[in-house]
Amino acid sequence: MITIGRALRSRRVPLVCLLAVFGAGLGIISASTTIRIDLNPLVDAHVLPASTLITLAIAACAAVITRPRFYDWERIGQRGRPAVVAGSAAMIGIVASLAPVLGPLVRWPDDLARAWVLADSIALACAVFIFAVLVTPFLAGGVVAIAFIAHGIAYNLRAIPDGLSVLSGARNEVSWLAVTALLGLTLVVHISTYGATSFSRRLGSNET
Amino acid sequence: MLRQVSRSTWLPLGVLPVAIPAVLVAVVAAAQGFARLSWPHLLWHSTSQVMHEHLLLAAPVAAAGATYFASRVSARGRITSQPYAARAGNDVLLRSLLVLCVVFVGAYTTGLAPLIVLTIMRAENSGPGVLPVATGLLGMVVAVMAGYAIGILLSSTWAWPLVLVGTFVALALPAEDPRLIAISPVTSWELGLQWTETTAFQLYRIAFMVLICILAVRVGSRALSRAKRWHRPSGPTFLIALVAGTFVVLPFQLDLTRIEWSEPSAAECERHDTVTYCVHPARASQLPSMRSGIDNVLAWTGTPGDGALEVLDAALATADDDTAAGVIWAYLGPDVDPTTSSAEDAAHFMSGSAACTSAAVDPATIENKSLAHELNRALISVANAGAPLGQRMQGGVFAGLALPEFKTWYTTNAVKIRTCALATSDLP
Repeated sequence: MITIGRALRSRRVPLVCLLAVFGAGLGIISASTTIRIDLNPLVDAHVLPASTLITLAIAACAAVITRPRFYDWERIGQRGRPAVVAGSAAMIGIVASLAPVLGPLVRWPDDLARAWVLADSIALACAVFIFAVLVTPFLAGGVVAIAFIAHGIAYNLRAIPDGLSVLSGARNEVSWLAVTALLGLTLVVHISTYGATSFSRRLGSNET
Repeated sequence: MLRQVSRSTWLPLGVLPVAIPAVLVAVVAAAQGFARLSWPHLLWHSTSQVMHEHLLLAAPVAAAGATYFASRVSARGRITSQPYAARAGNDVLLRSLLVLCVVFVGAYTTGLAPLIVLTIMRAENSGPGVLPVATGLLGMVVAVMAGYAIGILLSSTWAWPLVLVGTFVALALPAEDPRLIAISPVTSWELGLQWTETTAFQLYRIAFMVLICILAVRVGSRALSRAKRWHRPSGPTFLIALVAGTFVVLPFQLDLTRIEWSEPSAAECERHDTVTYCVHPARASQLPSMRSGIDNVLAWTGTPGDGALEVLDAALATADDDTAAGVIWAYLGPDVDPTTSSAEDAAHFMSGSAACTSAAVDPATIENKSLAHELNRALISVANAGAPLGQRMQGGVFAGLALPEFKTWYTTNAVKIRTCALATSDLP
């Protein structure tokens, strides 16, 4: 009888915990570092906290580490247990990649800004984990990172109308409903697919 | 039907995986410096810096290209890249790296070639800085080698977008934290002619980049020649990584001197009556335009009491110069018209605006300062218009005043103006 704990070890969860400790340290060191996108002289610079970017990087690493290594066996196995393993591995991965936000939470005095950073970080980590199922984990990190930077540039150039942005940092208000919905969506995607799709398996097979 | 493909061992993936990033590298390197091509005056001092500043967009593309190449050529499952292959490790690695370095460094140089050629044609009395140029080319090599090692370690065809973004963020960080300039070839902070980076500082940066190259090649070649690519680092590798880590931490602990004032160079000077005009030798051809700009203002104001006046190019400044001590500082730039800009600098001095901010003058009142500012604007407009004496002043507090009267008024109040003591009661 294989326990859930042993099954989670097949997703390398202990390594993810180590990664979370590393991320928390990095987040606390660089809590006050920001990256300013200032291409438009007419509006204020768009500020990306470094901890959000570190969250993105850690999420990409966590998605790579927790990728389903026994996918072929899980597909033909029992229905219940692989779903539980996939769902909990994704949740652990997302929680672990939120460790860098500890920096702003501990060291920033502003409640509202802390809420933005937290909400945006959860949204980004969820996006990485959803894309990890659809297009391999590596590509997921790259796609979300490029989209995040491009969003910052587009927002700074006023290419996105006010209030249409997905991220709270740009909209000046936190929508916890959207963040919760995104978390739920991630969970559903991972449970229903066991963490990969045949398309992403082929994409990642690296044979050509 | 299967088509037989014979490929050289230099380009195992064909031409496209190398050519596409190379073209992109050339395009982004050229695009960043496009505006400079139309500047009338180009200096080797700034073009040498451009050689490493423009890595900001080009280096991420090269690193991502190298990652893609590595992840395709030495994918973990390929029969040609197994650890027991005869040429596993160094042979494969060095051959690929040679191709990538030559092509990408060549593409980068090609992208910057128009700027370099124009600088060769337009620059005077100066040559390229060896260390800045070396930093730029070495930066490209580091990007290729580090990207290649990451490609081997991650061994996924889809790792390149991560490398693209990661390299860009790493190179953009010094703009936020200047202490990182010590290890990054992109400083986001171009230095004027009067300043240079210290040789020790540049060598520190180059040494760090060489260390990263050694580390990347070592990790890459050892990973290729064993069954498990992720492995506890060997003693020497760990030591090199430790030294590289020290290079990163050191600028945060010590205050490394980045900038020094350039050696005072023999200025190009010209003397007319009592006024001496001097420019930096690298700008000798701008001396006549600068003189005419200054003279446009002096025609209205005359020279100060004892007659002797110095006009200096700001690039000739030294650390202990007082910017308001009886010298007109002309701020000449490569992208501004020397006549207009030096007229503005002369007006700034002659209207007393320079004296108003000087520590030597008693604290000036708001009234003094704003009148000096008004006079500054008036002087610029009369100097640039080259107006005939019959016209009248337009706008500001001097509106409606005939030009000869303005000149007489200035001569009468000259002492008050130059000490920033002008009051409303002195106005005509």
